[in-house]
Amino acid sequence: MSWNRDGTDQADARGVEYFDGLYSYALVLTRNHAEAEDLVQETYVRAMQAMGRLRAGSNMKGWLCTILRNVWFNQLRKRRNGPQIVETEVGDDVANSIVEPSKDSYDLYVSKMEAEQVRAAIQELPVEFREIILLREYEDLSYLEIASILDCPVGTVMSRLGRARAKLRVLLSGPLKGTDSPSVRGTK
Amino acid sequence: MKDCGDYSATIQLYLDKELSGRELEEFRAHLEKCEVCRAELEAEEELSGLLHRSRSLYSAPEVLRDRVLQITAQPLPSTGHAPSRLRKHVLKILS
Repeated sequence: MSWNRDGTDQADARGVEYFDGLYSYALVLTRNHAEAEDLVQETYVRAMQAMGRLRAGSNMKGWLCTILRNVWFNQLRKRRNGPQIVETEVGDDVANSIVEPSKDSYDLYVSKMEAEQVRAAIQELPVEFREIILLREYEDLSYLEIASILDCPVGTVMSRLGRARAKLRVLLSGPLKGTDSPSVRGTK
Repeated sequence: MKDCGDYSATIQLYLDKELSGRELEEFRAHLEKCEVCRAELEAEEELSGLLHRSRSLYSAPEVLRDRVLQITAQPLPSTGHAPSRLRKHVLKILS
C-alpha cells in the first residue's frame, strides 16, 4: 500500500482537517445525519487508538476513510439481525438554506440550488457509486488510494467510476439543463 | 495507431490525472487532432466542474466538530512495546 501523498505533517494534526470530508463520506454511506455523526465520532475514536501505529509519511485522509468504511461495514453486518434504521432526508440542511435571509445575490441562490441538485443526484446513486464519486471528485484521492480504501483492484475503481459518472450525468441532465430557472428537485 | 473508440477509457484517466509519460503525450497529440474526443473530454470536464463547484459536499455540524476536537485533544495511547518489556521481565525472572 502506498500512502505517501500528503506528507508527515498531517499525522501530527490528528486528521481534524478532514472533518468535513469524513462527514460527507459518512453521509454518503449512511444517508442519515445521526448515523453519519456517530460514524465520524467512532472513526476518530478508533483513529486515536491506532494513531501510534500510523507510519510517518502515511496519508491520513486515506487512512481515516478506510477506518470509517470499516466501522460502517462492521455496523452493517451487526445490524443485519437487528431492526433496520430508516434513512432520513439528507437534504434538510439545504432546504433550510433556501429560506435564509436574502443577503445573497441571485447567482448565489442559483449556485445553492445547483449544489442541492448535485447532492440529491449523488444520493440517488447506489452506495458503491456514491462513495467512489465522493472519494475521487470531492476528496481528490488517486485510483490507487481509492483501491486501497475499497479493497479492490485499480481496474475496478476505474470502471466503477466511469459507470458512476455516466449514471450521475443522466441524473443531472434534467434538473441542470437550465440553472437560470432553478427548479427544486423532489427530495426523497 | 489507436482509433477513437480506444481512447474512451483514456479520457477518464486523463481527466483524473492518472496518465503520465508516453501515454499522456500520445493522448494529447490525439486530442489535437480529434474533435470527437475533445467533445467527450469537455463533457466529462463539465460534470467534474459541476461537482467541484458544490464542494464540500456536506458541512459537519458544530456539535460534532466539538465532540471530535475533544476526542483528538486527548493524549495518544502509549506506543510502548509492551510485549518487549514483558519479555525482558520474564527473562529477568527466569535468569
